[in-house]
Amino acid sequence: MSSSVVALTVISAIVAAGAFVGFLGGSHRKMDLEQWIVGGRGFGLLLVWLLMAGEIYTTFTFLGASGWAYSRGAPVLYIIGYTCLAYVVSFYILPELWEAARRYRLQTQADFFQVRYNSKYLTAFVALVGMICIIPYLQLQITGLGIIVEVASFGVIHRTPAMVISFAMVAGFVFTSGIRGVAWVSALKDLVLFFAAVFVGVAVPYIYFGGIGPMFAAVARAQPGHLVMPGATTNLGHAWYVSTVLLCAFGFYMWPHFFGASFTAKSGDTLRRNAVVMPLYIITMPLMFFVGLAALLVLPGLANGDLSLLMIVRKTFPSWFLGVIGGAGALTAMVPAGILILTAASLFAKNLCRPILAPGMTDQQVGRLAKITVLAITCAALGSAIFGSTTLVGLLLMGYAGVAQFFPGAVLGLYSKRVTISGVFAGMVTGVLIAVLLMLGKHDPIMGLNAGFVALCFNFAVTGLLSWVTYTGESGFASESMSSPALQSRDNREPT
Amino acid sequence: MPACAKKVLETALPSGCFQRVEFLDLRRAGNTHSRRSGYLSAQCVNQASGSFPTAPPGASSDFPSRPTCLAKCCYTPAHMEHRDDQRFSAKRPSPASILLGLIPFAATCFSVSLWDRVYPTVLGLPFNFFWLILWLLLTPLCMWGAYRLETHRASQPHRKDGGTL
Repeated sequence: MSSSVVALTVISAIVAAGAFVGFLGGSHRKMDLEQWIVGGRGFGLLLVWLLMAGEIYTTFTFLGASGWAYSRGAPVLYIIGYTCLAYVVSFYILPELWEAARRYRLQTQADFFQVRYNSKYLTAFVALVGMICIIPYLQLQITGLGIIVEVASFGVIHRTPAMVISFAMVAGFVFTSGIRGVAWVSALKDLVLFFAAVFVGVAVPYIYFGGIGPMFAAVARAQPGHLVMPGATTNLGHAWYVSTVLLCAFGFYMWPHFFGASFTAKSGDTLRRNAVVMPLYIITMPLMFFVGLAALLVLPGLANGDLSLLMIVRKTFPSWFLGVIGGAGALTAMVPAGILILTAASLFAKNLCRPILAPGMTDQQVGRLAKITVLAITCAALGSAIFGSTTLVGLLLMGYAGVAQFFPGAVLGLYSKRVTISGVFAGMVTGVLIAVLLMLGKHDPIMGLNAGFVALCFNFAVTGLLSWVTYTGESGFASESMSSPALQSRDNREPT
Repeated sequence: MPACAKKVLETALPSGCFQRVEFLDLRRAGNTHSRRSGYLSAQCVNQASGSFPTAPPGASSDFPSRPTCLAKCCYTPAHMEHRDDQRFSAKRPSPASILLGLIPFAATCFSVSLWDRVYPTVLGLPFNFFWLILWLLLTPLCMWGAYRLETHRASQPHRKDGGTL
């Protein structure tokens, strides 16, 4: 058997095992909308941990982090900085968000804005921006899958057909299992990825340099600037680091899928304990950096840094091991992709389509519509993956610039009654517009600062100022007994 | 004067519960969080007035549309204790716990120009890599402290608007 066949067989076996666990996790449960989206709101510490961690260990971690360590150098450290701080932020906001979610039976992120600000247009805007930001994140996963199959097949299978096949599978598995299935696959892939990451991260520097210390010494000799910011770039310095870390730490739980994943927890305390221990879970992230830095000396001159991890694995280890890494990588792309698709579909169906375009739909119809949206969103991301060409980290930062704009509305709104709908709506529109203009005009970073962060600052300013001007009296959450009709369940089931 | 008055809203319900009731705390009249409503089983209809009832262990705190009684003599809350206006309002974290959370921010974000250097290397790692990895371990410590503060606060009967932790 040729090496590409071995590698691809192992990858397929791991992916098949993942899909099987997913189908199993989703079966024998009646799937109504609530079960499909938030798993019946009954996940304990373990499952929530896996679900949330599962979304951190994405292709981004696996290929993107090593890729940036390879191509940019020290600026990649922002990833450790922000993930750590994102959990700190989550400690203060998620338990209360969860409490609000339980009280009002919220299912999606946009639902939260509905009960807080009672405007279906703001809700629809949040849903729309959330969906649009999800597309680059999804594109990141698809691109990752394509890279994996391309490298593992030694170039025999091109990236495009690989991406198409893998994503048909993801969409299929989301259709049948909902979030519970996704959570269990997440468990499987974390296990594989964890061992793969530790092994590769330790073994690669050891094989080529005799250890991690000597490797760093070699990098410091060969490319002295690479290990401190701005690394191999000219504009990613300390100001960029601080602004990007802040943007991402605030933006992290504003991702519609993270926001929504927190609703699946059993209690607010689960989320609080989760926030305490989660930084330990990213301890493998530096190992990915090590692999990228080792590749910098061993395989210089790769056109695309995102290939560095897989190329060095392919060069160093037998092909079955490339298959194991590729399989783990494929699952880390599929699980988050599944969650992303699920979130985008429910945002569209529940918060955008029903209240604005077609009021009067039943839950069953919305559920069906959500599944059709699954296909549409997958195709959109697939399309931009085929034609786009940004680094994996670049894609993620683009999404962050968008979702972080929810932060003032969500967090100030959660804790203060003085924040008004006009303030939040205007602030959010300003933030999104500035982020889009700066990014499209290639002004990122601007004056050394992350463009999304600049947009977020304007967002905060407008939200605060306008809320202060338009404040007329307490504007808190909706009354529980009169929660907005857009959120009430419309199926006619008998109470059980 | 009894501490609390019972108001019967409904009787002879299906599912083993006898009465749907509401308790009013007389000592805190006018207070926004002075009501609890729930279900009483037939055996304890006469016993439960006089003091604020507590739910038996294991009783569901979510709104049961048709409650089942768990013990022979029991009070099952219909909802959480709630404020009269039934609006959610979030509990702000304590300043002390926020202060603990600011430590990792100061250490890994704002102070970047102090630690972003290769030398001195520690355990073979450039200093900036070492510093951030170290804070992956120290951040949970800070947050554990914050957790202790928050849960200590929560163990006191404070959540007046009826939420859980």
